[in-house]
Amino acid sequence: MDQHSSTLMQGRPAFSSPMLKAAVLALLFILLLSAPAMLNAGLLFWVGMTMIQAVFALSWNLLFGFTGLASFGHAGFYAIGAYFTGAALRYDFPLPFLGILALAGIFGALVALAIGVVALKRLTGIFLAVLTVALTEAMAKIIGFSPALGEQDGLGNIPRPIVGFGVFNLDLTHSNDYYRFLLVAVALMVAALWWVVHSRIGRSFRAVREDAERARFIGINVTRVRVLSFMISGGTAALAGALSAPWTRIVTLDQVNWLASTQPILNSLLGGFTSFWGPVVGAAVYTAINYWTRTFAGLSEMLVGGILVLVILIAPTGIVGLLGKLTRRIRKNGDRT
Amino acid sequence: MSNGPLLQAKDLRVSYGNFEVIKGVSLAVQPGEALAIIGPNGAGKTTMFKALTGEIDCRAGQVMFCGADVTAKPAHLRTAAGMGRTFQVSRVFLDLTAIDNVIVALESRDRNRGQRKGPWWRAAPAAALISEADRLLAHLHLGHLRDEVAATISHGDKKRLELALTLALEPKILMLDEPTAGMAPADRMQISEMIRSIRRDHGVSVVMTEHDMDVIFSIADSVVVMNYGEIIAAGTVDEVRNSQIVRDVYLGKDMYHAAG
Repeated sequence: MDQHSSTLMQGRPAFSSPMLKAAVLALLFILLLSAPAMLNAGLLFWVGMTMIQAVFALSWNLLFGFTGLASFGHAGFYAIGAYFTGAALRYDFPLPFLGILALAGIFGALVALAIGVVALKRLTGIFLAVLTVALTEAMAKIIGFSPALGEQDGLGNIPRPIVGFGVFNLDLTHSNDYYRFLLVAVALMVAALWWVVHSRIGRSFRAVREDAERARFIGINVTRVRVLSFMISGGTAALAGALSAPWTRIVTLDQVNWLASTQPILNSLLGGFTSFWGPVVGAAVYTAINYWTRTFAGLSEMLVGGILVLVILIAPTGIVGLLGKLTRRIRKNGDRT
Repeated sequence: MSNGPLLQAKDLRVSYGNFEVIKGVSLAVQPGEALAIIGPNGAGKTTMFKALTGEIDCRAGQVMFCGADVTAKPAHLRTAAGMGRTFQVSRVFLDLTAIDNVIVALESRDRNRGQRKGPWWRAAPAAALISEADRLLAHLHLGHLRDEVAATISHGDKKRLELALTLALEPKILMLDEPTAGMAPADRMQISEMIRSIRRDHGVSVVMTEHDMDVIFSIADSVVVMNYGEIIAAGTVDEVRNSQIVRDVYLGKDMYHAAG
């Protein structure tokens, strides 16, 4: 990454040197890879869920932070992936696991396309926000009345898959093995999203976010750019859901309500929606808060709520934005002395 | 399309609700010509502008560009076909740096031409694009603001940056909605000199609305005068300057209010 593209990063992240950033990411990957050896099964489950939530939050923030559109029903997309994968594994669809994942992502993107074409014809974001909420509510109703999807009880006993690669099979039935698969999948998805945000497509997203009218008058098809962003976002959210089903081994209606939809919003705002890595940081911090307060019922909600109020009041650009501001100030002071 | 006007409006009508703002305006811009649309405030100049560029729909009439009927075409397609436009209050991408503003415009131009410089998997803009953007910034005397975020630069610089965005598209026609509005006199002269040099170097046509007569007289070949949504006079700069009807419309107003 050269000097130029780093200026395109919004909010200038705390660690601005690309080398340092790559080193931190590599270290994080190695740590996460060795997590099964260091953590017990319970903690490992939290770590896996955090990674899934991080991708989910990144998918939401691609829309909000980088295209300027809000979805208040993103859980609908997550649930599409989770329920489709859950059902496919549970009822033994004659499909390879990677094919199931790909289909889940494609379903998410197609539903986003349908909603996007309807909502964004009007060209205002509020229609999109409302329709996504409607999608989530409708899905909850449909699932609630579908015996094959477990109705109110959820779809349980989802088996973990064995991935066939032709010459060899990758047995993911043990949670440690599925965890490693999950880590690689998440890393690939984060890399893909990073590429989208920093590529020519991402720059057109940002132009539309900044000033749709101006973007139109440099020849950008604003509707198409918005629908494309929504499709990538919806597809990624569905993939996050798809990866979650074999990890939790149960999918329930709890993943298809408005509370589930606020999770990626919360993570993005907490970590910082102006930065690519903000939602990832937010997801990690949120998990940490939840974990340390898990024995006190209600405390985590109060803490998260309180922290969110603080973030909005003191650091509207979230933790990453705050860190960036601090490092800039320290550097400035260093220059002065 | 080599012969005939580059841009033409035929009996254009625009209404806001029941209120007709443009009442059957026809005009034509020849390749290389510079046309100024003048008139008092509320005459419909900006509305006319929006109808020509596709920002708003017209109720009746036709807009022809490069020999094709673009009346039903959305703004981004007219832009892709070679219509470059600036706004009365300059609009740039405020959160991006000056260079990134221009790069976004260059990339949009290339996308619309089906071109791509550099391999598809490369995220950062191609080196050729960056140097092209740097040349454009230097050309518009914005080189020193290259890495400044657009929100922080001055009003006059924003106007020039917007011009850079528009020039990046290599337009056939420049549509300038009050290019010197709100500028200091020295800046006005600099902008009109710049527009003249762009016309000289690239042979682009210009359609502009403007209040400053000095700017108009230094750039435009011909002028149409609008009042209450109609054209009340049209001709060369000198003809319009000496027309009695135009003087009547502007009665009590100093047409040279920004002189000096």
